[in-house]
Amino acid sequence: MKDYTFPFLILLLTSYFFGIWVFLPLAAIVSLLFYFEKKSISFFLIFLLALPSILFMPAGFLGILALIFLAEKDNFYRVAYFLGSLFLVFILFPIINLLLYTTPKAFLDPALLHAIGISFLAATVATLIALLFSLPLGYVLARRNFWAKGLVESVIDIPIVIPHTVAGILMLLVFGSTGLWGKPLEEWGIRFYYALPGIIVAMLFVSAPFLINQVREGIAKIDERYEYTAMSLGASRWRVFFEIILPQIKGNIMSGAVNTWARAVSEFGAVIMIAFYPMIAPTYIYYLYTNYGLHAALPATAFLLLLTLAIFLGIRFAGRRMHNA
Amino acid sequence: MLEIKGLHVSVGEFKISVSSLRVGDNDYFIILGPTGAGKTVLLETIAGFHVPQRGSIMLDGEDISLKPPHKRDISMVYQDYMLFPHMTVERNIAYPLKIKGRPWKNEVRRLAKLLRIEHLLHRYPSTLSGGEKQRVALARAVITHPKFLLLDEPFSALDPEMRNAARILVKEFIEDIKVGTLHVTHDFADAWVLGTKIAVMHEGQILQQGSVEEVFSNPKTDFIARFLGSANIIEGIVRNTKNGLTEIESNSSIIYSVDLASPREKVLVSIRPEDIVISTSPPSGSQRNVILGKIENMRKEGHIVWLLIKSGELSLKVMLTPNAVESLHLEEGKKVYASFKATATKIVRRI
Repeated sequence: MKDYTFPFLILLLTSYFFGIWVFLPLAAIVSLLFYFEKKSISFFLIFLLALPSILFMPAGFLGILALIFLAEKDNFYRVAYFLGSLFLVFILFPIINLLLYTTPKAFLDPALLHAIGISFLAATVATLIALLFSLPLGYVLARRNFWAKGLVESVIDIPIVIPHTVAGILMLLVFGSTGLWGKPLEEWGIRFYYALPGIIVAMLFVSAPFLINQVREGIAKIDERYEYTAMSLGASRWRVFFEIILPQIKGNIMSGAVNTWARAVSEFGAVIMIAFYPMIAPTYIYYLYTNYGLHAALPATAFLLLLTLAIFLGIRFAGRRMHNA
Repeated sequence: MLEIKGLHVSVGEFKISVSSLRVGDNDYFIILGPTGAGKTVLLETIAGFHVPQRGSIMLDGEDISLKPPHKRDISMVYQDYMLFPHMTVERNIAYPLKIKGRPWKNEVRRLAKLLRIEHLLHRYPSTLSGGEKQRVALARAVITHPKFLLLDEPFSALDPEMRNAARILVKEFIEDIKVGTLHVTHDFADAWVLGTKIAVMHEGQILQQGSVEEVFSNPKTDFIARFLGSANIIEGIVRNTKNGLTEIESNSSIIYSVDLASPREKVLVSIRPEDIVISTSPPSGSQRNVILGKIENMRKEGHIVWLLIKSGELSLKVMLTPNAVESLHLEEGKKVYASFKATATKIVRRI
């Protein structure tokens, strides 16, 4: 028998904050479900104890406690379920709350669609560049031991720990129009300041560590004797890398790339320092909020949230299917 | 012909120095040594995964010690076989041929048939048993007809009861495809069943090398004697087989074994020293083998006592506890009965 207690506790608790019109019907459904699941009439107490919320909302909370006490017999788990579900509600309630502001209007806002396009393009390019560096770097870190290796590994993690606006300033200083690298590159026609390449380097800086670390972990898990064996069978080091190592770390590359892409596409602080324009999606929402107020920003924000969730869940689902296959 | 001279390698905590080692193209050469002797590092150096500090490795007259591994034409099989998990059995076996861009379908079929793994070709390595993996690894290692084959403890990943069958399969296969083989192991049985020549390795050095009989019967140092001392190896000729018992004549004594062999076959027989029972009067138990002999030598070593019993030309090493020695009043020169079961007598190799 499947255990429905925790997920339905989360649902019921979340619904509570949307008021009785959501809470009471859900309490009724939960009562019925557990009645059919466990063949015990006592589960109707959940609905009965939730009913007084019509008169006084906090009273309905007893219905939630009834679910915990009736469905779970272990006191330790009762407490853990309750506290655990509170945190999930802390994430889920604001998200669902914002999604209520979704309107078709957002689809028709060309500026928003353009910003999303820039976001996705820049994040994808940043991920590909990160991949290019993470393969050799991950290999060296996984296979060789050298002096100050710990320090080198820490350097790779620096972009994760420093504040993002600081990261943005770092990039601006070297890639800006007067920067050591930015100036000559601009003379060759590659402009970073207020341009797409600037967005890409900012995203790359803050997100590449995820991919590098994943690739390193993946390679470290492959017994070096696979490489030796392949070499003794006539494969050069290059062949071994592409034919023996790479296929075995596909999963690490995929999940590292997803993390890097997700991190890049959600970056805001580092990007606005070097390129407020062209606007990426988070910058556009910030722009709407600061110029036209919260309510003007809500539809675009809700749309972006919906899109991000769809991509995130889609990749998770695809990843799980790939894993099971 | 593989020839090693004055080789010094140090890798991590392993230091190896081999002054001289020669393995012919028709040899099945076994290097026997305890865990940590540096056997694997030696193989890896021959295969080219470590660069030696000094010395030369000659293959057919050419110094290969600085050649990259993939150009040496020496295949290595590790004890856990290292089948590439992302390739099917067929792809694994074909891999060396694919690298060379040669046709592979027929050759893979031929080897798979020879090793009886045809039915596994479309499976992935994770679904194979230890013995199956081993055969796949062997096929993959020899498909390009390398000049030499290196085997690192090839049977230690198998269940003990499967090892003997695997040894015979490997022996026949290697004889069939004719490739010079260097095999390292800590298991004596590998040496008896497979080796045409053996060497004993300890702490990074080769202590003795020669034919199996030579090294086992004439250990040159204490270490070798102690390391090999755990078994009696006796050469004999099968007289006949009756009611499931094989009668073996050795140095005018008769030894019975339950292992089967055909008449007039020359065999090596092993008897473990702890399986031999000593008594001062004729034993009344069920032991098939009873040999009357004289205690030639007695040596105490920790909590055990080693006896050397001589009966004519036949000598047997026996392991006893100090208590048993005392209660039987054993001393050098005394006549005793050495008895052991026919089931404790193993035919380890047909010569």
